[in-house]
Amino acid sequence: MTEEDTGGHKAPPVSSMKMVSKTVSNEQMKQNNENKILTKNRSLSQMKKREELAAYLFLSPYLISALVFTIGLLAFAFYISLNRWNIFTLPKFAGFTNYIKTFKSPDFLRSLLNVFWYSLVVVSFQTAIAILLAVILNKPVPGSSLFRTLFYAPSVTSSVVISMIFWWLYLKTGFLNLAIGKLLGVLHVAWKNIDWLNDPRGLFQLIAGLFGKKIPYSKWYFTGPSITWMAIMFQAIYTTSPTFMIMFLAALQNIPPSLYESASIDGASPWKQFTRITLPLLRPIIMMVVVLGTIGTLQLFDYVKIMTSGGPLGTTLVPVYLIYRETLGTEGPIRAGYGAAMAFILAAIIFIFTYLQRRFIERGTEHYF
Amino acid sequence: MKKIFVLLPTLAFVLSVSVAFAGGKQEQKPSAETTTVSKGAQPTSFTKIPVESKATIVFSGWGDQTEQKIYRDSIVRFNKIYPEVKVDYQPIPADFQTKIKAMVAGGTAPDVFYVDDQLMTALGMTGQLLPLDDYMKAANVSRKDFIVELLKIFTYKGKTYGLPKDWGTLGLVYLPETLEAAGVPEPNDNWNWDDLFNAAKKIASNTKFAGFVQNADWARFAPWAFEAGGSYTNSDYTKATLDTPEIKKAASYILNMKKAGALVTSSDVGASWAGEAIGKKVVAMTYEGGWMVNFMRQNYPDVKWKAAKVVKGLNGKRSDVIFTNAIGIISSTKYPKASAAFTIFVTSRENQAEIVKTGFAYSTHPDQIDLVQDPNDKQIAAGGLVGRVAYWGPNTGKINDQVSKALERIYLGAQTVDESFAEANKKVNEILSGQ
Amino acid sequence: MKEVPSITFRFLQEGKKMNEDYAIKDTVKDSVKDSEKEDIIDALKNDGENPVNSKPFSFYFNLSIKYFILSAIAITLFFPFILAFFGTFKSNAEITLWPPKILPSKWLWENWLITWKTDLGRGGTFPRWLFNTAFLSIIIATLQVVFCSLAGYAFARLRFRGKEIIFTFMISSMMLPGVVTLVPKYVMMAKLKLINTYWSLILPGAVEAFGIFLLTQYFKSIPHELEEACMIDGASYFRIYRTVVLPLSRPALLTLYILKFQAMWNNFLDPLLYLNRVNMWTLTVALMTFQQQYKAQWNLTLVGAMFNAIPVLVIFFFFSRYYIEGVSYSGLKT
Repeated sequence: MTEEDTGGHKAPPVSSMKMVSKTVSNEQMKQNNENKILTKNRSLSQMKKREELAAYLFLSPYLISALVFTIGLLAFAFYISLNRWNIFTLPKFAGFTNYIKTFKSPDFLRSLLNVFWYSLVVVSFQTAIAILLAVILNKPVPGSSLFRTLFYAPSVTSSVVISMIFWWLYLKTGFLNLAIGKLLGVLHVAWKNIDWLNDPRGLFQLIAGLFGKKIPYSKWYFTGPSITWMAIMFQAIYTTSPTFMIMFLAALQNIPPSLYESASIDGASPWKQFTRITLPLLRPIIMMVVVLGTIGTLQLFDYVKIMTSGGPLGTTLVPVYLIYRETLGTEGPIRAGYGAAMAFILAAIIFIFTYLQRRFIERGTEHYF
Repeated sequence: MKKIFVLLPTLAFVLSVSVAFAGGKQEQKPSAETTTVSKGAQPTSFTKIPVESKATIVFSGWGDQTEQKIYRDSIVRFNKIYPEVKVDYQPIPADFQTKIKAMVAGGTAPDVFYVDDQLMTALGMTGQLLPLDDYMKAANVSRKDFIVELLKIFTYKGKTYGLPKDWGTLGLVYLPETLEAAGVPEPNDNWNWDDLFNAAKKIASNTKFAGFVQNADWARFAPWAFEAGGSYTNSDYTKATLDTPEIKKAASYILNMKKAGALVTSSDVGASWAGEAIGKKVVAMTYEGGWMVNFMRQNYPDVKWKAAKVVKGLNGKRSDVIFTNAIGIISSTKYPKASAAFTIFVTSRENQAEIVKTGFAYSTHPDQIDLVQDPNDKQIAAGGLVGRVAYWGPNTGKINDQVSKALERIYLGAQTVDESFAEANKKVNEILSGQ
Repeated sequence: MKEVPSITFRFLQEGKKMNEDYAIKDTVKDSVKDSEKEDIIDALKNDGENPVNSKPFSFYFNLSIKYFILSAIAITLFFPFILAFFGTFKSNAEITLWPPKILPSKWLWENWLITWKTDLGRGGTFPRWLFNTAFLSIIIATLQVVFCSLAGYAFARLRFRGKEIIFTFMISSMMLPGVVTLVPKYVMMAKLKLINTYWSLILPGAVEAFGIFLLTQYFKSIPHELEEACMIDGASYFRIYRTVVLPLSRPALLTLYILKFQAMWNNFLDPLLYLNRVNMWTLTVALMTFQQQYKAQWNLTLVGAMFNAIPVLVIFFFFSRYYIEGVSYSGLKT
């Protein structure tokens, strides 16, 4: 029950802090209470058995569903990744050739780097914005139900419309160029209109350009995310933040208001209250949002399929686009084994990322996986 | 508050009992078809083939409501000749190829369905489609009855796996008023590359309109490539031929047009595709297809537009690109004869003559190209007789994609024509060698 | 460990305070709607306790700044929806017009009528699709809340052998892109004879890793004290789950319900794959018949999109009054 529990922050001498650190971890407390319960009539092993039985009963619907729908399919997919398979005739065993082929594919490596940038930017921003929106909405004012609904709108608005609006925004003659042009016009700086959805220039390329250095397109690993890619990241953040907002909104309900009240009596500023009470108590939800966000972004597919098809110059190519193409044979013969091998490599990368995130976010609390 | 959490599940289960399964029953009795048959040409010369008794076949295709109606009408016409065969039409409105592949793998495929080059590769080349040659013989239908080029995609090892149901091609679509504004005469059948270049340049520099709109797209590039004598691969699809002088000549022409300010992309002029740019009256000319007729009628009925044939190459030769889809049969069907009878009927002269009348598609029989009604559509359709399909074997999609990417590199100025097509050539060769 | 008694004490005090809130709530009874009631309670509380807010000028000044910020964000986030809504009354050409206009130049009310009257034959009508969609969404969202909360409780609160393995497996199962198992899953459904039945959507959708993960994390963030009190009284795990954990996590359950309802309401690929007959289709599948290449009917597509968005927004609006600070505790009677 020391600084460890609040994520290493130096807690101010606010009495409510004790409560915070307490609720974050529970194992010791459980132990403590167990002793009291034990004094009743059961032995420890009986207790444990009872708890275990209850747990498996609670889990049984999921376990049954996973047995039928998940385990078999995952095992089958793995088996397929070791074969050549056109999905209609019998698979032919191929060993690890599909995996070797994946690692040798420049397209796949490039798509991994692209999606890494995407995930890094989108997950950070959407999580931060979602927390911010939730905190803003959490303090009730008259009409707050209405505001919540309005804030939630982007996640239910037809993607067709949202894509269209962003397309207007990003056109060479669109709002964004217009706005930047006007703004710079005031400062007497000329602005050359950018075709946002078709500009392969990378971030690092642009920065190097400022210093008179040139990074050629052929060195794709140094160019950084392209302008088009960043434009798509912005659209993704706009669309998904409200969904994560309601997750945080629900979690904020679990924080007893008295914590804030006693904190403000003790003279803690709103910012301090946010960093010392809200954030630590939201940790399990932040961890969930980051993990779900990472899984979702690393599996990005629709935007690329609908808006860019991987272009310009391959700067928006993503792994699932390649996996989709091979698994379903949209541009050539079906190579389901090759697709599955790419998918397992991607899944392994997602696993490593989420594992590290979890270790980082849930540091000092009860955790598993 | 609690009530709501009790109410919802209750409501759900009441609904579930009453409906989920009522729906299943309702399907059993097929409701009467509301569609009517147009009283057009009665099929007379049609040869019937013997079919299984009590055959019920499932037929699937993609398409919007217009297309669905056209095929429902075709089924009614079919039943006039084969009243003993029941056809259950189950349209698949999106992701058609994905669903068909899954259905074939799961053993629940429709008996008869649309086949495109992607499904031909996935199904035709793995033995999942029924060869039609014997049935065609029985029905007195020969491959020569069709525009031969259309059958190229659906022929594998000398057997026919699909009969072409419709096709499309490109024409020179233009806005007469824009040419007039620039003092350029309207295009005629003798226009060649230079005429188009000069006209587009004149329009772009003398009027507020852009000259010619074309995106970095393998299909729009194909007429230029074919007219220059190029091809994306060799004739047996084993080697890329993108590094040839012919292809580079076509690409340089496009690039020069772009450099001269005569060619723009659709996003340059604030349109999502070239046809929309014509509708919005921001550009004078483009290469588009027969779909422009309905598109313009539906969205821009007040815009006057015209179409001519694609322009001739500098050697005086005209060529064009053809897109086509066919109808094929799953090899595991219980009713191969009834399915074949249906496939042959839908693609027959008799049925296609009716479909042409709707303005929906061109007939796949060479002697019926004249049946196209709309004068603009007629001009576009003329490309069919000199055109070829951009088909390069099982990897067609990937090869065409490489061509689009090569064009994109040129458009963006990231590479020269030589560099870009050398790279595409290398990549296509890798694809063809199975890497 | 020493703090335990004091925390328990604090918590009990907390409960008492909440009961007071409840008392206030009762006094402002039925004269106002519940959602407003919460606001008034809060205003009353603030007025009484916060010295800053007792000054009328700064109170209203702060409030107006707050409204300004809220409105600015709301406009940014709601604008696309407004544009889409007015788009439903426009002609096709006007929707793609550049620069765009918000209001239609001519109001085409018939777009809604055309969409509503869509009839593909064989029972494939718009009301029928709407009904199918609502039916599936309600069933699946309800089942998810029930089954996922059971599993989530076990993961968040109970100790058992294999917990880490099962949880890790569950999270990992989300990491493989779905397209890889698309065909094998279809084949399995075909072998189980579930194709063209609603079971093909309900059975795999009844409990999912996502929902369990979500609720596990919420349950972990709920303070333990109340449960432990029940534990000492010897209550069964199921009773604690039902009488303590579920009521405390209403906002979380609601979140899952909304997310799953919306997911099924907008689900496109699964109904497309598993349902063949037009009278069994859902809205999203049927709406694709308006959107073919070069022939997209944007205005009708947008009308359809309204049918996708409005029910979710209405449900959200209806339930969103439960997203009120501290409501978890005020509803609890111990």
